Amino acid sequence: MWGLYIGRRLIYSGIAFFISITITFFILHLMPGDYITNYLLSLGTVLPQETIDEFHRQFGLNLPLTDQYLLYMENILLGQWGYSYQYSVPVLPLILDKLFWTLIILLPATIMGILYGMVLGAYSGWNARSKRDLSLFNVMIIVRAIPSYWWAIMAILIFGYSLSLFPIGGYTSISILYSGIDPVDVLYHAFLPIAVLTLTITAGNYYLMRNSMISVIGEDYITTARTKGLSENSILWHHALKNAMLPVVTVAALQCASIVTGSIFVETVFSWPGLGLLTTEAIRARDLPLLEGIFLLDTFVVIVANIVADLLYPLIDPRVRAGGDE
Amino acid sequence: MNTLGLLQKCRTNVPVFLFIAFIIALCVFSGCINEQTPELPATHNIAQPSGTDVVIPVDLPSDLISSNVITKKKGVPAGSMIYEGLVTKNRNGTYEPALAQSWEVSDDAKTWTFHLIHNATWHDGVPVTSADVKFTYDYLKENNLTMGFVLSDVSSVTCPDDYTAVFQLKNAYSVWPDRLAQSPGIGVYPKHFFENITDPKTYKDTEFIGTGPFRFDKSEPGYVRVARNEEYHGEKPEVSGVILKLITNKDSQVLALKNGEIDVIRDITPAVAENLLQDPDIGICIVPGTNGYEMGLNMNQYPTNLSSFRQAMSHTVDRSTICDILGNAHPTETTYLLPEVAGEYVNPAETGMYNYNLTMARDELLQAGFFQDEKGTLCGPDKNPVELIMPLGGKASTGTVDEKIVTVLRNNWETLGITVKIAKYDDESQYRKAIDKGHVFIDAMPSILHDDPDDLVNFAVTPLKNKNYYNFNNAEFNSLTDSVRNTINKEERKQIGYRMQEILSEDIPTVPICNIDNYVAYRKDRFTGWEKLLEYSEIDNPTVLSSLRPVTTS
Repeated sequence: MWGLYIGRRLIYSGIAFFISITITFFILHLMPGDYITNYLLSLGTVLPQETIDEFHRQFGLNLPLTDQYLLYMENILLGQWGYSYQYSVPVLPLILDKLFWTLIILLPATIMGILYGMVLGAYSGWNARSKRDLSLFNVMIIVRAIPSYWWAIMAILIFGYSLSLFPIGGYTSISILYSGIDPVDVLYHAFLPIAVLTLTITAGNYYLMRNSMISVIGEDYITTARTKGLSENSILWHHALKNAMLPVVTVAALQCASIVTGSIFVETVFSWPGLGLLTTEAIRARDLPLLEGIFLLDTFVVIVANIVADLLYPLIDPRVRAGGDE
Repeated sequence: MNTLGLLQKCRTNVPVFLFIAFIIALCVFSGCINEQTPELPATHNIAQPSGTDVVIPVDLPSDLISSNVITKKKGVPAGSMIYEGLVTKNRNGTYEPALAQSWEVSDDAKTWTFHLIHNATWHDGVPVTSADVKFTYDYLKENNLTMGFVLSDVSSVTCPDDYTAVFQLKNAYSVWPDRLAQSPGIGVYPKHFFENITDPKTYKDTEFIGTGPFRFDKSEPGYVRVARNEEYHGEKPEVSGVILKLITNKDSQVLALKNGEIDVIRDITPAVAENLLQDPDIGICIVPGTNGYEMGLNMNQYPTNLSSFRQAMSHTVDRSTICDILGNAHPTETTYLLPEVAGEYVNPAETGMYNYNLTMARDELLQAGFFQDEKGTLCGPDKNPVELIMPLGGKASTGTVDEKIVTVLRNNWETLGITVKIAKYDDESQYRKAIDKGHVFIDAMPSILHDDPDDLVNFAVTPLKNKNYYNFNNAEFNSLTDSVRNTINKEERKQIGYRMQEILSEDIPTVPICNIDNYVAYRKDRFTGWEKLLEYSEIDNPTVLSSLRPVTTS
């Protein structure tokens, strides 16, 4: 049964993946403008038509769109993701390089944001309408309402510039040119971006967990547990938390998937060019192979995240059986 | 002595061991303190560059270094410290030698002969010869590399000797060195290196062998360092190297300058410049007239397709107020975009034609059959209200300059009863498409691209370009574009340029507004010589960097 469910899930996910990358391909190719046109505009000069035609020929852009699509699918299956127009390097290593730097800040920030959000949300929901809950709730409203790039700018101004506790931005200090990459230095530079991202991710998860907890504590089984004389801690940990966590698990899985998209605002403010900035640059320059590669990776990660969330559910809530409703 | 005894001895001698460790630590730290490094401003535990390296910020990762420079489409030589072309050009419009020490052109402007300097070598020590120049042309053409378009006017390159390269052009082109020098320009690449690279489009360069005043040293995430080329054929830089540091955010660049992490920043606003001046260690260099702004009129849309309407609109530009708002702008009042740079090529008869006079504008509109109804709305001869669509975007939107200009224009147009609809576009392609459907647009162009009559080709329709943004198509003007390109004599070119400006002033496809100064902030306590920017504009120009001198400290 379990195996059958996994198999069916993989097939459906494969179909979803295929449909998603197909839609992405056509949307990208239907965007107005192209790389060579944008390049021309940046130069303020006139390119001979044969140069434009040659560029289109080299990258297969002169072929009918359906032929380009078939070529794209064939290359994907062969693991060839193409060459970036702007960087003139293979797309996959370029994406993986930026993904590495994105993960350094987004992975810990997402994990901590989910955990802190769940803990604070659970605490707040469990003590709903108390003074502590209201205080925390109001703080989270402010945190959530203010854009992440404002927090980033403030962090730089206060901790980076005024107090000089942390660097203003960048991956590492200039010493990298003389003594190579120092992991401690990288973490030192990553501290502020991680802190800002954690703060903003925590707020969203806090709300979800708090609301979920409030709805759970009103359930009959919680009343029954209290009537049975169980301690509040026991009720919280063994009954309320597990049930309240379920909606958060789905969102958390998708948040983990969104790690690969990066955070354009935080990356720009902290001069930490990851996938977010790479994507924005690629869109601006109409670097199609790079965009196709990035969205391919995004799609794959989101689908995997959904599968993981589906598999986690039965572990958290035994009432839910994988494929049990079929 | 057994182990236990040794341990006991150590335990009793702990203070001695600690003291010895302390002495060793002191020796190590004193060695670091006694190192000869230039005194740098306090930078709050930020690591310092070594020696006398200039640290320059770049905005985007793609601005660092491309692993395939021969396909890199940002051109050479203006922005390259490693590579050189045959010639460069300064802000005054003067061509300067780079790898070519002199050059001449045939009477028909189709044959250009460049005489190379004799002592130039590649960074790996191999001498530069004319074979490298010919190779560059052949290589770009045979491999269909995009940058080959810069040499698309060339039909052949011959090398009568090791230091002479002769370019035969397909058509006459009197300012052809402009193509070599800027926008984007083209470098000369080493034959001995690239002749073995059979697939330049996928080749990943790690050596970057050029001839420039700096050679590639190393590249790390977020940084690139180029070191002084000790064998440089020209004036050797006094700085030991240049470090490009990736700082994507302009505000962070300002903070980094204040902190001493970087040595210079460009494109700051007048307000930021004024704030930075409060720091005694920071200086400001104002590079005049770097960019020119114009109000373009679409001659394919009603009512801007009416000459009389355009004539009236030319008197609605309040340059004085616009310049006050922008703070770093100067009005431009001729048919040319940038009179200071264009110099004697500016037709003096065209000066003051587009003076700001709303009364005159109103009168001209009335004469053209426009009128204001009872609500004050301007209506055309067809009795319909006049509405102008104005897309915003492109180069002019940098620093929201276009929005500030439009604020002033809109006030005046609404006084005349004209309804204005504005649409902002972040995407360049969409903006350019919107221009074709709109009536008016604000455009910007670097001044170095508007210092010669040949640059008026922007208004022409040619075989290479079958339309322009203004939809301006004048047969005489188009023909003069060819003439100015074929004419070498400066006086004749000037007269052709004058006539071209007359035509523009009659048809008014565009109304020049102002040109803007560029503010550059630099640390005075690190390097002197930033005044060279007045001649070369860009902070990463190799000539500017070569002129820097470290500030000596006592």
